[in-house]
Amino acid sequence: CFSGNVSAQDLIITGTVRAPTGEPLPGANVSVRGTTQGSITNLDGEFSIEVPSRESLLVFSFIGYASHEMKVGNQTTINVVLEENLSALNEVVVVGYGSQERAKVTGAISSVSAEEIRELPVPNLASAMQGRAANVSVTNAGAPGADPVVRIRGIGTVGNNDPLYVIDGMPASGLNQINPADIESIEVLKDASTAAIYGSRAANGVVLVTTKKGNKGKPKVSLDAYYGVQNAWKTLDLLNVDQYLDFGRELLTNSGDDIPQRFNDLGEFANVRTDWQDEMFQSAPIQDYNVSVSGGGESSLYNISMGYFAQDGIMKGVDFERVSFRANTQFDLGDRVSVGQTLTVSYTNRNDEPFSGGRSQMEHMVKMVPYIPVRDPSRQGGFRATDTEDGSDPENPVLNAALKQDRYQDFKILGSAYIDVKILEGFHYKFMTGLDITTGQRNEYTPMFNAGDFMFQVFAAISQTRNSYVSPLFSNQFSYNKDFGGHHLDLLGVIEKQTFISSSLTGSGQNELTNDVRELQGVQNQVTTSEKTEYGLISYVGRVNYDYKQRYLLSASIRRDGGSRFGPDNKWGIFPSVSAGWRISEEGFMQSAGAISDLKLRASYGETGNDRIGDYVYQATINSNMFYNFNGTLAGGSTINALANEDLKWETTIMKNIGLDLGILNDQITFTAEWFDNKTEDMILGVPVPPSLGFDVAPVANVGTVRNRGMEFTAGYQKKTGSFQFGVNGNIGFVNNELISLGSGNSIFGPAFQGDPMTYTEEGKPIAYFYGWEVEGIFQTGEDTSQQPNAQAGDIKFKDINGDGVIGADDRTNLGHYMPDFTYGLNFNANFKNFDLSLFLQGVQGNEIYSNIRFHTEGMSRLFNASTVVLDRWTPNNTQTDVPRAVSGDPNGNARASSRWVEDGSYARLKNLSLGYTVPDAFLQSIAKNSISNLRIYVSAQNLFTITDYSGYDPEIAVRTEIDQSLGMGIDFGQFPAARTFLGGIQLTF
Amino acid sequence: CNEEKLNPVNPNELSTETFYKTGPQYVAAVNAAYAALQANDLYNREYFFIQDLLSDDVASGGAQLEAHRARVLNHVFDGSNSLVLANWRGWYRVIQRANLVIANVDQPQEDISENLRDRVLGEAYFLRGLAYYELSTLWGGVPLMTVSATGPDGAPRASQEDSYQQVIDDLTAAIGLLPPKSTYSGADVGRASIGAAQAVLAKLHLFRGDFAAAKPLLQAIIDSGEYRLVDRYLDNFEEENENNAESLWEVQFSEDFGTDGGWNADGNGIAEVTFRGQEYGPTAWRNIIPNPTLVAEFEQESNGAEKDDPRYGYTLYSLGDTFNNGESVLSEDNVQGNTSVPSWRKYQMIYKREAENTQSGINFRVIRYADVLLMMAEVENETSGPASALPYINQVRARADVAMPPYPTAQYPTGTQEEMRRAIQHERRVELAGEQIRNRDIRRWRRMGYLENEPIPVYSDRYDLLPIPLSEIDNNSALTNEDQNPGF
Repeated sequence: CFSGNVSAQDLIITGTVRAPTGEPLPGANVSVRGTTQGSITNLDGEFSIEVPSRESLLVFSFIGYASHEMKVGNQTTINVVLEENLSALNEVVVVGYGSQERAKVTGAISSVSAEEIRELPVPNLASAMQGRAANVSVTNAGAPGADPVVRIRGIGTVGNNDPLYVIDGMPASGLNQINPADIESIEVLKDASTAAIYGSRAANGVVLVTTKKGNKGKPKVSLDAYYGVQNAWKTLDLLNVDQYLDFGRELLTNSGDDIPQRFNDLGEFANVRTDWQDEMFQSAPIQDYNVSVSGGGESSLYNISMGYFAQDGIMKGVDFERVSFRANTQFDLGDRVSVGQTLTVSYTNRNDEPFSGGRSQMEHMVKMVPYIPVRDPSRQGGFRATDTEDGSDPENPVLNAALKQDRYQDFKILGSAYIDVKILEGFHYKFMTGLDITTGQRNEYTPMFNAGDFMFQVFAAISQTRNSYVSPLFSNQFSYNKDFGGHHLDLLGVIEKQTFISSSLTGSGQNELTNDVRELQGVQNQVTTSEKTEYGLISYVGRVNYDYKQRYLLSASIRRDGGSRFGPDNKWGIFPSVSAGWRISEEGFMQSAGAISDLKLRASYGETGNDRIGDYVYQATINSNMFYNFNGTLAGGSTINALANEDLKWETTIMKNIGLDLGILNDQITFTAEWFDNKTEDMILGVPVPPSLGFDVAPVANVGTVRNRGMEFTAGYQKKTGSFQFGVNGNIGFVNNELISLGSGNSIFGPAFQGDPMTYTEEGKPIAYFYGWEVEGIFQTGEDTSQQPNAQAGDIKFKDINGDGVIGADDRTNLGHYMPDFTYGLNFNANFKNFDLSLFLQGVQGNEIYSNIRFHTEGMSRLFNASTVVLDRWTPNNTQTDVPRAVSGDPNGNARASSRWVEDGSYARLKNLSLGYTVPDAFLQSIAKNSISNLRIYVSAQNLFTITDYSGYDPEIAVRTEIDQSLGMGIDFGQFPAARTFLGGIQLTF
Repeated sequence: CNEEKLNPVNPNELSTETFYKTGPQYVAAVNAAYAALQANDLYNREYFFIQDLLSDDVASGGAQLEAHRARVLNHVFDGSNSLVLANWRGWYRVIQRANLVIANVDQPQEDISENLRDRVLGEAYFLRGLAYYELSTLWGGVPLMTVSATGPDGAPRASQEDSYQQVIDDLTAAIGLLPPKSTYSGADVGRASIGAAQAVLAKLHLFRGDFAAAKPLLQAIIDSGEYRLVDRYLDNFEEENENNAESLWEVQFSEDFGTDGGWNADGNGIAEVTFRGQEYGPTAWRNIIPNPTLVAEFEQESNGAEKDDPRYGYTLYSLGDTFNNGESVLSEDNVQGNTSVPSWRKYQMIYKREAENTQSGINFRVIRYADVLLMMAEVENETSGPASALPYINQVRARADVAMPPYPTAQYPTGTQEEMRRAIQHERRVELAGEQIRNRDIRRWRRMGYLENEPIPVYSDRYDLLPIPLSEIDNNSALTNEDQNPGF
């Protein structure tokens, strides 16, 4: 800082600012109290500042540290050590189109830090949020590379409930392709005041992801690696061969069917005892390696990293790997201009669970006949399955895993670049452009094989799909901020445009000659199809933030979105929000209440939208993809196979939020409470139509109103002094979901199984509750079965809900719901000298699971292997049981959708337990001679124990492939189960 | 910003505003209705299942028969049965696509002759009439959709009579518009003709017991000279002689266009194959086998007939029979399940290949001339007496490679109307076995009191009409559970 008239009294003070660890703090503020004079420390933490007099007070401040004041006095050199600030209030949180000090936030934001993300090794960023933020419900899919289901504050629609992900300012896709190690922070925007700025895409909440940018200082190289082994934590008790044969005989005798020939003489299988669970489950490796270099100079920051992650499934045939590269940089070009960029390049390679005949591998596994061997070298392909003389047609899951390939290879480039120009003091213009590109290919291949009468393929089936997705964003952002006499004003204006273009090309064919060629060469019946869709979004955004002495906070925003997915008269939607906060703790009358370091009340109101429908659905179109062969000539057919709706418009969610933040004892204890009420209007719904309309595709319309109301609480305590430091924090979220109205008067049936819909959605109830008949007991010999004409003794008696003396469709009722009463997470971490321990417990309470897998293991409607539960089946000699008789064909419908399959799905799970040891500095110095600055080794266990009454493989049930994500949640079709993992890792910094 | 992006044109599909303008587009519209016949819900799979399982033509092949199918066979099913839903949904898909053709009849202005316009319209009326025939004869009164729906609401159930009347109206319109079969050539062979429409309408009248109304229709078919019995019985059920002189109308299948369409075909995409061989084949899944009562129905010298009926061997495969062009022999080892009962041969592919698979290209013969002759025999017997019936029924027995002795025989005297009924019932059962005709024959004879004994031991009155599918009642705002058929 230069002054034109340096007087004799002017004093120059120099010194160093350091952290308690002794590390210099570059970029710390040094200012003279009551003046505008200020300076910033250099890379070595050194500063130099001119002060008016020896009475001057110097103020040292740095984000994350308590500011420190010191009188100049006689000193010319002042060295200070800043204490770490326990309060999170000075943290800067990322918000839409900018950042804000936590203290000034008036909405509901949950943050997940880089430390939390790295503490628990997770394959993707959504999993990193599980249990970390109240009412952010994350249900992991057990299969490697599969996306978890993320629900923020309940389910606002029967349509798509996925939140919007914004990565470094760029609304983006393909979360599995982002390396969690690159993430600096995740912010979950839960209410209108924070989310409405994303307008038509914000109704399901917004997840802001910020990647690591680097810090000023010399290059820091870090290496992170872990390796672990995953195993199934539970298996079921299934019938052995003798039990299976007894069961099968009774099942078929009771229905008057013939006993399969093989039952009389197992012949070649006489000594085969196959444990299909043993054959399918495996010890599967999981590994992750990351190396990064970061640092920065006076006017630059950089962070470059490379990562490799690989995970095999605990069931055979499934794997995932990711190679990712990231480069983020930031440069200041003089005082006025700064530029920066982020870039991810990644490659993912995933082999999906084979899914044949609409059945999961687990379903095949539990149904497979125990006397059938896995392999048979005499059969083409080398595997064995059942023949007709076995009277049962499950698939050999090991064959599926070994021979059927469904591989996805995706390449992603996700990047953004900006230039920020300071036009006037406080007035900035920022131009940002982002690009999200994915190109991928899917290779499906099944060779010729013949494992049995029901499991064979007479040609090699080859299918390849090439797809590309390109989404450019152009954003012009104007911001202005001004302080005047305790008032602070922030203004933001944005004009932006984003487009999304997807296209795909699929070719398939059959090779009847060889299994060796996996390309479409020399194949018959070649079919090629292609498709392209485009979505465009144009947006105008405005926001005002105002505060007076950081005590009274006001914020308002508005976004106007125009989108191509909606009808001609409804292209544009307006999404406003307002919010206010009162930091009571800043009031004079609170100064005497010394224990309370922070107290804030806040409230918000606003509207957000949901645009998650397919492209072009409002248009009436002709589908020309129909064919008929007249006399050996293929003729094309064209028809309308979906109802169109020209009036289609945005779905709107009106969000209200009231929050309270409390900090006690310099924020050693923190507490946050939120109350919210989200009401979705004009819900976009694939209106179920009667089959008699003859359409194959449900029309989409704006009908219905959904309400999600709830509370959430977050509390923490931390102690950071002495050799023993620890922190504990927890969160809990309650949501109550209700479908207030369903405009057309229609109700909605969810996915059906064996003709019975398993969920039902109707007014006044939560969306997609489990639906079916209620079990009352078992008919005993001689009992009146007139209410169920097909029933005999040993069959299940269902409850006559409407009392008409007959069990019919009207007797179906509400059997429970997949949404928990509450979800929670509890995190504990402690450091003692060089050891660190962390423990993370996560759970859900009060939900039900519809166990379709139990239909397969206990349903007894056809001959398949079964669970040992069926050993307790009703027989004339075993009448005191709740398991019905075994009868093939199930004439009474014992296995129909009923309360028999609905179970409590609550669980509490020790998600992670890890113990680390940081090698002492002195020792490092002696062996590594300053080349290594930090070395930590750790061991960790995931899912060490799970407390649950659920009888299936795992209570964490994500939605199955091909099943509606909103209407089919909580149904366990045999989804891939979560693993128990033990791993060890090392973190090195050079 | 440039707001053009907000008004995109769907690059994948045509707009309804610009379609139906030319002859080829109009033909494509009716082709889509034909394509719906190939859906899994109908002739690809579920149609032959529901017709057979409701009849006494078949028995269970064993435990591999899926529960929802076994329930139909055992007559313990209700409106939630997915087989019932599939057929219902399949026919209404045909109706929707036909409705679009009928509604847009005045649209095409280019590349279209009046003959073509009439023919396409006639085809649409035929397909819609066929669909309502299937629906009204199995479910009774049904929702009548005669225009394409523009909103999600459904129609109420019409009465049984009004539903029959819809069939009569549609098929009468088709008869007025369609050309004779012989005018079709090349890539039009397989389209509906006047004879097909007359035959389906005659079937409806027969089902209602209105023999007088059926007679002129059948007479017109016979008098047209378009049809004759082929010399070789099996030419009706193999791939080589499709659309032959005996055929009035077939649903076309072919293996030439790939395997797409086996599972989950919904009339979309190139789906030209059927599951039939795989489902019934003796060496394949053999989910369904011939009913022992059908096996016993064939005339045999051992049961007192003059001659063994050769149709036994044409219809059924027994152990020791050769297949795969004579290269393989059926034995205990390669036949699945209960080998004390023969297996289906009609419509099986293994006559010329080693194994069945899920791709059969054999056309589904919906109506053939032998059925017309037997219907005429029945009409004559009921309206003029047994003597007038005799020439028609004996014509069927006289087919070159059947050559059964003419009625009356010792086993089947035909002196009285009652005796002739017995002969006709016998002849229909063996001639048309496994052709998905028996179900409706039993139903109408039962209603008219013509059955000597109830052929289905597990039958109960509530199965006279099938239950309306639950998902129809649940989603059709014009229906409640009160509209369900009695007993469900």
